Amino acid sequence: MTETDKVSIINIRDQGDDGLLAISRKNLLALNLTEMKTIQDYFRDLGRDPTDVELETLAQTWSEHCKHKTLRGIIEYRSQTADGSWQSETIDNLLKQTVMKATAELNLPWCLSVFKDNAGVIDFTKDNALAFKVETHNHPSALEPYGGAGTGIGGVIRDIVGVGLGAKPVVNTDVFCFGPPDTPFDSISDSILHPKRIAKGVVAGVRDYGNRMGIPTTNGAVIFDPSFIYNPLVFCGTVGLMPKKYISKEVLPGDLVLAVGGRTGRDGIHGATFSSIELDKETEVSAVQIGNPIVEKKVTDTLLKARDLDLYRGVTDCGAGGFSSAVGELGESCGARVYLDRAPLKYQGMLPWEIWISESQERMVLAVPPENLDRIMEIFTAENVEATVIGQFTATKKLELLYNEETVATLDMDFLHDGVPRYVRKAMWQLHKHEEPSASRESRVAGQKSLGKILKQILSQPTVASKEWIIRQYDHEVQGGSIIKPLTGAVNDGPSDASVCRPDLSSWSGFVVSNGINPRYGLIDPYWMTASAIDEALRNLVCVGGDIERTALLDNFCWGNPDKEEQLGGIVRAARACYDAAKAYKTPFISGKDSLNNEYSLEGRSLSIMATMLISAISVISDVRKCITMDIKKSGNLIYLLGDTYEELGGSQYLALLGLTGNGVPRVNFAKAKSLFTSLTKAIGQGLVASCHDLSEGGLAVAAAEMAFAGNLGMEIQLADGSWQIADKDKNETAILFSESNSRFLVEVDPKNKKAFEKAMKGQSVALIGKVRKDKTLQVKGLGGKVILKENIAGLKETWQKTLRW
Amino acid sequence: MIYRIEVGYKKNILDALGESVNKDIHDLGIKKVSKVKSVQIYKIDADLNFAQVDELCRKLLIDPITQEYLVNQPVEHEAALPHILVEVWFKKGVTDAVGDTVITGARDLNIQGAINSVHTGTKYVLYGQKLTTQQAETIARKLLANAIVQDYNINQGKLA
Repeated sequence: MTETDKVSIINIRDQGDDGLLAISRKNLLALNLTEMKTIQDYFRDLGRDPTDVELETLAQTWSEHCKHKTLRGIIEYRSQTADGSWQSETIDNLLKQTVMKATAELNLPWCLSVFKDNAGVIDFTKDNALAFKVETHNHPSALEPYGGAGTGIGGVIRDIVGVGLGAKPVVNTDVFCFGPPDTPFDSISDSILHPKRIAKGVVAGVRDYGNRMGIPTTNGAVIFDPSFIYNPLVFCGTVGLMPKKYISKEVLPGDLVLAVGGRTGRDGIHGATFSSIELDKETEVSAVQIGNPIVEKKVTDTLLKARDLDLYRGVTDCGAGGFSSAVGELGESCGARVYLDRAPLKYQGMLPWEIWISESQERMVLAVPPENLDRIMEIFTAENVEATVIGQFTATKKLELLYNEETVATLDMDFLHDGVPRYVRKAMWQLHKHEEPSASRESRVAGQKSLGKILKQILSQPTVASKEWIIRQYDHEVQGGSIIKPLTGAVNDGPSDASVCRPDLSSWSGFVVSNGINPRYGLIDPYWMTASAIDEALRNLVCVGGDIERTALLDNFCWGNPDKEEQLGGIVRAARACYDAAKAYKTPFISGKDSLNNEYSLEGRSLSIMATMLISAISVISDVRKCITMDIKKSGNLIYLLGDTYEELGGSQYLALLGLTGNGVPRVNFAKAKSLFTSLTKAIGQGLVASCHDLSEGGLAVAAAEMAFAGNLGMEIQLADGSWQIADKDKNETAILFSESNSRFLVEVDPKNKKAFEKAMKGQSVALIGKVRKDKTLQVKGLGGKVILKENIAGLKETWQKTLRW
Repeated sequence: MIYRIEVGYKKNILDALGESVNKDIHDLGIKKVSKVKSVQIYKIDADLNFAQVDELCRKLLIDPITQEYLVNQPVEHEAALPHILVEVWFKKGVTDAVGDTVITGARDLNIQGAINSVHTGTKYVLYGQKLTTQQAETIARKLLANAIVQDYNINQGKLA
């Protein structure tokens, strides 16, 4: 290989440690010393130095983003037990030991493709399967919210289009974490955008990309907290529908490498390595780009047409790392030769390594048997979709790159994919004691404010408040399959627990999508935050009629810098909760993603986000007509509380009002919860339940208020009729109303179904605590029988809607 | 030939972008702005004659019910009121998907003649007594343009 004006040879064989690190830093490779040394050894053995193309290819393929080096590495973990003593252990591949292990042990026949392709795939109907994937796009969204969020959506849609031989995107779900919208402008650094601007930009990006692609956005959540001011989180998810016969790829030597879709430009270079680097105000801007949904729509439509004619044997998207990752993945088991000068470019003057790793949007790579080329080109040409043969898959087990007939890279596939040295990292976890509300502080609040006022204050918190302003910008009807929509109720403005979609309009089969997220619990213990998120995702899904026996989960870890022992310790705790919960609920994980280094360095200080676990759930149901919504339906109907209420105010919205975190984080009794979910699923399936809503942020009071104003009816609750696992009950009506204990539901039942419902719920924790009233008030009678809360539902609704009415 | 086309909402038609920017300006703590008008700008470098450009505007760039346009001159606005103009453009090299789509759209309309490039930008007319250019600068920086992908320029209209 010779140096030209297009390709440089980088001398690494003669470098010492400092020299190697300098090369990594200078070229934004994000490779550490061990990795650089491994590369050095490889090229010393070959007796030559690498080209810039080779070095960039290795950096992309070995990036944290693509390889999950931390979670699959070796972790030396020590943790403090309740009695204060320390335990240590070595964890070899955390993901394999927890999240993936649960799936392997459950070994459910309806999990068709897990943890190996671009998305997880589960069985749906006789002929069809469902693919589901959730990704993050945090750093790009912090810098350019509109473009960052749009390309986030675009990327996850391409994951679905590139799973197996391609699935059709049918539903989007989007979850965001932002700084508080009322953050004073002068309180934040000039180097970042204001949280409200980020929020509006992200929403506009999601709206424009999702709507223009003709995919309904039916599910989501938005969390607001100061820890996300400098580093927002943007989760984008897509569900796809695909015939079962197309769930796997088989690339053969001789197949042509066909690049389809957008042209390659200099935009988005170093996205994969960039996601592993902490942000600061000098952060490289080439990582930011703006998507073009119309191009992606055309690519999607033509590709699925070619799929149905069996014209190609493999497909994947150009995500992080661009061609380098896409061709590398497809050719992993055989080999590939690519002529970089043949790739269609947006403009001239790009260097070979830039072409190879550019992350320009809307590109897919296909493996096409030569005999099918003419027919597949006809399909793309007819719709003005650009498609170009840029190379061929080979049997050499090597990746060979050429530019103007000159070889610019030759790497062994084995080294490229399995050569990355494993990380060894230290992790530590200990329980922190947080301040508890003092009696005086609490009574000051209670003394000044009635329970009604506290309820209103919680309803107006941005995290709890109505997201209608956001939801209404999204198309949630396109494709015509939306059954339970994000807003529901008498006048379609109540908050749905989950969304239900019927992707095949000739069948009543459908699926439910829901999510669970509450990072405030993680301040106390990431284990219970994760368990709570899983419980929340599942109860949301059960609320609308999802089937707990046919439910799969996705994890999204968002943490700070894993070089910090405590950050990684939190990840270990969270991963273990994933295993325990998935096993107990029998809900396997089918795909997941981690986004680490969510930190921002400001004036020498590193600001980390609150560690956040998003759990997304998908459930297959056989008849969407049995689904129900959360708004109460008829006066005189009975209101039951299902599940146990403990004094679990740690991380709650109530303590947030007092400016506190507390310690009593909501826990989960998995066995009890699973049994309750199963009984409730059955009762809903039998048509015994008129409406059902889960208890989450703000607890019983918020759930009751939401059901009432969504149904435009009143509700009466008698606390004396419930049984509460709370000591010193008399003083603790506040705890009863605002505790956020998991695995609880409020359920509305017609009196004529009372007997049947109670029979169906036999053995569960059930209390008949109220009824639906005709007058439009929410009334709570305390343990002593006195009215302790009485609010007009219109007033409650207005408070809940006002906050985010932008 | 380079054409500059401005597209704005007709009088009495809701300018949603303008209104939402106006609200955001108030959130920013600047109370001197009374109204905002948004105008979409297209800078087209093409071998087209005026009639062809006019056709492109009518058939592709505007909604004839709600919008109006002018070629090579600014669309009507209440110029008698004190105002400041802010224009926001993508930086060189940033994908301009709308601009790219205009080229495709012209081809689909069968408009003959080479279109070399289309750049899109947005003009904001900030109306307000006593609004200073310094305040407009703050608005541009904090709300209208993201320095990472966009440039802006401020034009003093009629100052009070």
